Amino acid sequence: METASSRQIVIMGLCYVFSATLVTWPGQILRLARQDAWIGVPTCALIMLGVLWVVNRTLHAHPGKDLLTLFVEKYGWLGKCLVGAYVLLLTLDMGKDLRFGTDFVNVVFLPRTPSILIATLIAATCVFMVRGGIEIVGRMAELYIPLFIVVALCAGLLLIPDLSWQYMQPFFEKGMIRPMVGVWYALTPIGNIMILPLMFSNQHFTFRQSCMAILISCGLLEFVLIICQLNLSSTLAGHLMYPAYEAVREIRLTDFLDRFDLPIVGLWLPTIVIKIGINLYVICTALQRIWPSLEARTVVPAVGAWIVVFGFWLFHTSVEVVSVNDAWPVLVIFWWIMIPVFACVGLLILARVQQSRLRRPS
Amino acid sequence: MILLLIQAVGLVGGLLFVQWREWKKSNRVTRIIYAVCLLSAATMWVLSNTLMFTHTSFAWLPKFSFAG
Repeated sequence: METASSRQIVIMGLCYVFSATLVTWPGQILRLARQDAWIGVPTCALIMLGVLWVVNRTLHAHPGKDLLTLFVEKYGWLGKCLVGAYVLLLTLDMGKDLRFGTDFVNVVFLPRTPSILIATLIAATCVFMVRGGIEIVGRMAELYIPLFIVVALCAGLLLIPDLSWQYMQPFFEKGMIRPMVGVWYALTPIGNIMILPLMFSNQHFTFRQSCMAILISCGLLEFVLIICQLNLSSTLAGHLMYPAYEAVREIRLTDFLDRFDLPIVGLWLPTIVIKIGINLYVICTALQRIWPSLEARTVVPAVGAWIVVFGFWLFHTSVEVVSVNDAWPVLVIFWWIMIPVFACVGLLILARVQQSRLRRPS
Repeated sequence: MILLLIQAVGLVGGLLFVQWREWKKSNRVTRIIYAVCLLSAATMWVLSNTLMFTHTSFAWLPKFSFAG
């Protein structure tokens, strides 16, 4: 039960990139990058493809081992500290997502239900998923993500008559400042693709899969961003907490389906549960890498309970999460770009040195 | 405060009740990490609800401030 198919890996990767992002990210990026926000997504995709290429070369040089295992095996106690730092980062990320998901459900579906109850139910679902193994997470992703993508694309297409193309212009009104701000905000979701090499070795995970995951997720992010921009304008979307949801609320299919947003939110909810589940899985796996005798399956509920309480202590409202998201790319640059690149270059050099020693005649 | 303590005890007791057999069978490292997670979660629950004013809103984090 500890394997996932290549299709499931691609789907989990793109779920991890876009599911939590769709809630407030379009508003944040449009607020400051305005009409030049769209440049950020392809630029970040290219940066992350470069990082993934380096990581993939390292995984090929060390077959059958994921990045967390390699850190611990090759760098000793320093590697364990690095893995511990990833546990901290993913805990923060999971707390953020849990808060976002809980508040969104509270606003849209269940305004009278206490937030802690909603968060506990979401966390309990994730705990059951993770205790079942990565295959269960993969199967859930395989079930819900394609369906959500099709419905989200249909919703976007239904909005085409309401789009105003002048909201894209003027291009580069303030020079390169706004595109650079767009790149800053786009780093947060797209940097998340680095979760895949932490979970899978080269036996299951290839560069082609990561390329597919990043291209599909970036295409979807760009699609949602442009629809929000052309439908609501960057000025209005920048002032909304949930711009993508507000855009979908404009769709009126018939008298019967006047709340078309409800089925879409109903399909989006499992995707954020899957993202939180992936986070929980990687946290427990990372703990097992630090303490090899740890039974990860047993501690999943305790870790889940800890993160629920921690998330609610750290973020009283999801507005605080938005403030943290403004500065989050600093952590992305450090944890998802610099550490993997430097660590992988070091591992490649170590592998070369070992090979040359083996070839040298004694 | 008493209610918060009851809730914290409920969290620890509830999870231990559900996983008691699994917890008994597990090794020492697992038991310690399990206990640390649950006890720190219970402590955090009580402290975060009694010391609410020590909470930060993260407004001190730097933001882009150009007139855009």
